[in-house]
Amino acid sequence: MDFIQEYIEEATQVLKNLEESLLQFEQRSADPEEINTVYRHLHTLKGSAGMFGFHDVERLSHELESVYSDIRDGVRQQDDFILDLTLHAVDVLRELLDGKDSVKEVDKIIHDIRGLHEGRIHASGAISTHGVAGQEEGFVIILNPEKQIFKRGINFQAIIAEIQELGSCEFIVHNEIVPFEKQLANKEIESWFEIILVSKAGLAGVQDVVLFMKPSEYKVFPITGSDLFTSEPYQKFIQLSEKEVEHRLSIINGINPALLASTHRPAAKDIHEKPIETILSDGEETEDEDQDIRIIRKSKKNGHVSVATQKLDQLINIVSELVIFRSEIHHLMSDTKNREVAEALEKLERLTLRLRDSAFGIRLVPLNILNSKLQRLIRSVSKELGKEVEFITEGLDTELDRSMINALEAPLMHIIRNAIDHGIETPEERESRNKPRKGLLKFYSYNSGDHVFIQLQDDGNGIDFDKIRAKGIEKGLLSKNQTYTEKELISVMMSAGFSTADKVTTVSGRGVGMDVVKKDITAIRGDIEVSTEKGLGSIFTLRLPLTLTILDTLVVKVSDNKYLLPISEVQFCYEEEHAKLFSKKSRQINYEGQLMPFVSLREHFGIEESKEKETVIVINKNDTKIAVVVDSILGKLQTVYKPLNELLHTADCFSGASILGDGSMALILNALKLKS
Amino acid sequence: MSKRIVVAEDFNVSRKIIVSTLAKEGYTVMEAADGSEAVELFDGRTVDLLITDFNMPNMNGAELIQKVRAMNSYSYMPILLLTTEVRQEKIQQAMDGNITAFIKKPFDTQDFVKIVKKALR
Repeated sequence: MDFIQEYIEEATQVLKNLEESLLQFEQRSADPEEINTVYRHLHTLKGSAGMFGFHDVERLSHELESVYSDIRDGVRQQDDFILDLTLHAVDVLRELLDGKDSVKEVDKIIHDIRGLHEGRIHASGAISTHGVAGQEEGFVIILNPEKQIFKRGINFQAIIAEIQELGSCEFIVHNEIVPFEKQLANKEIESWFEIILVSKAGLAGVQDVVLFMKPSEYKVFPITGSDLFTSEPYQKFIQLSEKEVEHRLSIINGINPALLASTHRPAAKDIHEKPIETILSDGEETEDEDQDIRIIRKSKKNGHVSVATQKLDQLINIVSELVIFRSEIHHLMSDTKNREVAEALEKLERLTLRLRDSAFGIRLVPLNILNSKLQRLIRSVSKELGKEVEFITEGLDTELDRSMINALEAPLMHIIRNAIDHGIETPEERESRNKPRKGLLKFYSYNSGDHVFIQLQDDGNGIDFDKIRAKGIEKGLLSKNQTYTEKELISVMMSAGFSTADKVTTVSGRGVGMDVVKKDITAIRGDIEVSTEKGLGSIFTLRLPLTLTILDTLVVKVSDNKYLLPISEVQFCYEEEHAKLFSKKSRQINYEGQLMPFVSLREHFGIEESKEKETVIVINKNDTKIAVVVDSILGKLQTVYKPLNELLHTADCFSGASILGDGSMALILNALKLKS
Repeated sequence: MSKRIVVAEDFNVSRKIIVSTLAKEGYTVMEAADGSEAVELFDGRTVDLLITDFNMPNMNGAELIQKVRAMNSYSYMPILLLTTEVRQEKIQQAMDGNITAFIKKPFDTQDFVKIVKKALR
């Protein structure tokens, strides 16, 4: 394994976290917790940089670290200048990791930082009121769950995991007559637990974790001093020997000695002598410990493994093929009478689906990873244009396929740029319209069915349809004498070579317009929708499939061929007499009182056969409806979507291809394109 | 994949509020107006959480919970029971050991979502 490569990956991750914390900062400047986080990230960065020969990284992060240690200690106040400087430094650090030679920039930033330090000497009288990072508190949680707690639908494992997430903790398991893992597997809890937790979550945070447990099942003791374990309420639960008390104290001392030292002054004296003793006795102590007590040490963070995308893709590929194979077996064994085989098949089926879900789950990442990029974009664009923007996000924990998030980045940035440039007005303009000076930009995302929706809403001026009409006429995209609906105008706005900025600004007039956004979104099988209200703002809605490769389809037969229709687009199917369908000249059916065009696939593919009964499938894709007439429906199938290669791109009535359970190929129909 | 929740509640307005609150959170919600409708929803599907009222026509909450718990795949599924303050104590005794938590009506949607999220962990 290449250590340098590993370091670069890790450092890049640290930089990303650092950036996120910095942006957090901007919104809630006085949060000492975040200051500490920034400081920690810088420290991590510095620590390992030198080892791998990144001396400039080391130099720069060292200087930054000193600034943030001042802020943390309340000697200096965080301000915009420092934030800008640090964000710039993050970019430079990135370049350095990429192997770029940015020594000049490094020197410049270091010079600026030193300037700050000198400024500090002059202004040393003013000591900031900023608080020191959030207080860590200690708790002992006694958990004594009912044996049948799982039967209440409570996942005891999740409770344990949540406690571990709260901070540094140590578990002491009592009455472990059956190994704890076994108890979890049997879903019967015999043991009870003493948990020493050091956390910043506070008592309320701890009580939140045990929300579903009965009052008789838990007890939380704040650690107030070393006498806790010998106090009467505690002894009600367990009578500890001197050695056991000592052991618990040493655990607390190991996590954060300040907890015992600072609170109870009289008690502090005893403890001061204790660490030495405990270090000495540590080895024998665990041996001496009662057999039923076991210590699990858990660090604060959940473990993460970073895996090369290539390996992941390989896994997904194998899983995808397994899914096909499952369909094939299912197909082959579909009329088996053997019950055991059928049961085994069912198990295989369930497992495959679970495997598929978790394999795809690995690829899913929360949209959160885009957050810092978007925030920085908004920051820089609004500064550049002299606009004030408040960015609100909701649902950033919505998960999407990694590749999809990558593909989304450019279009999202473009929409945001547009919204700030064209949508949100200058603060003066806004005031004259009785709007708050600060424009509002909202980013929502949520799951619905097998789709993820992302909405970007601004409270700006809305889309100016008059402008679009005029521009469209000028560009020769619209005719002067015709009236257009708003929907049509929006689709013109998203067509190639359309840009409405009065003058080309560096922000949104880059020669590419909404057409590129639309193309990008369509490329990942998504849709974009725009709604707008003049003077009030606009909403851009992106609708994206959860995964790119697995598709639920309806298999239809046309003559000897099979075709696939995405089930999400199928609204209704029914049978109809051939004669009745084709009696009228206009190729339209009446479905629920609505006339819609239909296309006979036999006709479309030039097959001259006739049938008495036809099967009509009503397709509804984003409210555009079309009916497709086929010979028959064969069934439902989950397929792996494979894109068509370049040679077939001209046949746009097919969106892809897939392998069927019996090993044969079928094309996936893009019904809306059949119309023309 | 989004988590699937069955909501059983005969009172239309509160059911709609619950369903729309949950849908906004991205959950897949299936609704039933009484216990027997709800039981059908468990057939052949995966359900991650049941939220049910106690008093319902045809089949009440207690019977529903009993039926659901008797199904193999749902013996450890979280179940949230909607109750009014007054009745809670009585029902609590009856349902002890079978359900995850009570939700007192009327409830605050934020607290409600918090409890649902927690139950689904």
